[in-house]
Amino acid sequence: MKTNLQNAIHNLSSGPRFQPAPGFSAAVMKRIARRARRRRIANRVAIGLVAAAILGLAGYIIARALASITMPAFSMSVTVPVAVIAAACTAMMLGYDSIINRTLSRHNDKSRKQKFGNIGNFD
Amino acid sequence: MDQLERQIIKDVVAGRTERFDWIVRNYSQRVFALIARIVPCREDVEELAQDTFIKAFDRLADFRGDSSVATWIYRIAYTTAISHTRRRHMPAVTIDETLAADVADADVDSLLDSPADADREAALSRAIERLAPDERALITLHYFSNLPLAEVAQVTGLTLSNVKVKLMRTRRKLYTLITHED
Repeated sequence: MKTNLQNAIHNLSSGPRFQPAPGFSAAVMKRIARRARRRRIANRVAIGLVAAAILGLAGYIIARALASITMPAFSMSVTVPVAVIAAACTAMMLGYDSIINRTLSRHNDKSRKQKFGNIGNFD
Repeated sequence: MDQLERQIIKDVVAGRTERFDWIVRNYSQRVFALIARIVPCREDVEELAQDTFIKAFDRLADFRGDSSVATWIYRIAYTTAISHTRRRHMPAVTIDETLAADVADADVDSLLDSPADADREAALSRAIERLAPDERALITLHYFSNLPLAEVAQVTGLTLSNVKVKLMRTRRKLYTLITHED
């Protein structure tokens, strides 16, 4: 048997004010999907930056070594552009990959939307 | 933590975000009820309940499984709601401490723990509404969500003895508010 206190708190906590609205979990999942996508992009950008830095450094070392063997007089004018180009190429490739993925996923969402109507967690 | 919850957490952490829906559906009712007991405004409750699940999602990879998922989510909901009330400086009724200190435990028990009767229940409901947010949360967790005191301590971040003392004081405060209502 319930006591006064249990009953009072139970009655107070079971009114409509204490029930989530019908679209509550859909709204939460929409925010979570958006957050997860942002997190994936941020991870990709971070990986891209690290990879670009590593490859840039490697390019710099290789170019410097080659320059010291072949053209000692132009070593700095060769090494710096090579390193910059290597880093930029890596960043562009990773960025391009990310853009393609995003475009594809948007396209898939759009065609699903056209096919099934406005259901699911679309942004 | 049961097998299903463990599997769902593993799936979400591995990138299957849509599986988090199970956690939201399973706990939204209880999270909502707890936050609504602490925060009076319906729009704020909705916002804070959403924030609770977003925080749970963000921290899911760090969840070690030392406590149940329910206790863990309650803790996030509790801290989210209490921080909100602190930011808003919500007023609470203060009572004369000497009045509450003079109350005998037997009187408190007989009023609060006696079999339910409508008049006392109504007075008790009014008194609960006048408690401070953390006191309302404490009695909600213990008497509505039926959490044992050890779990209430985990949720609120207090020690077990501190929870017992706070609960006893809250019960005395309820008694004082009811008996001095007029």
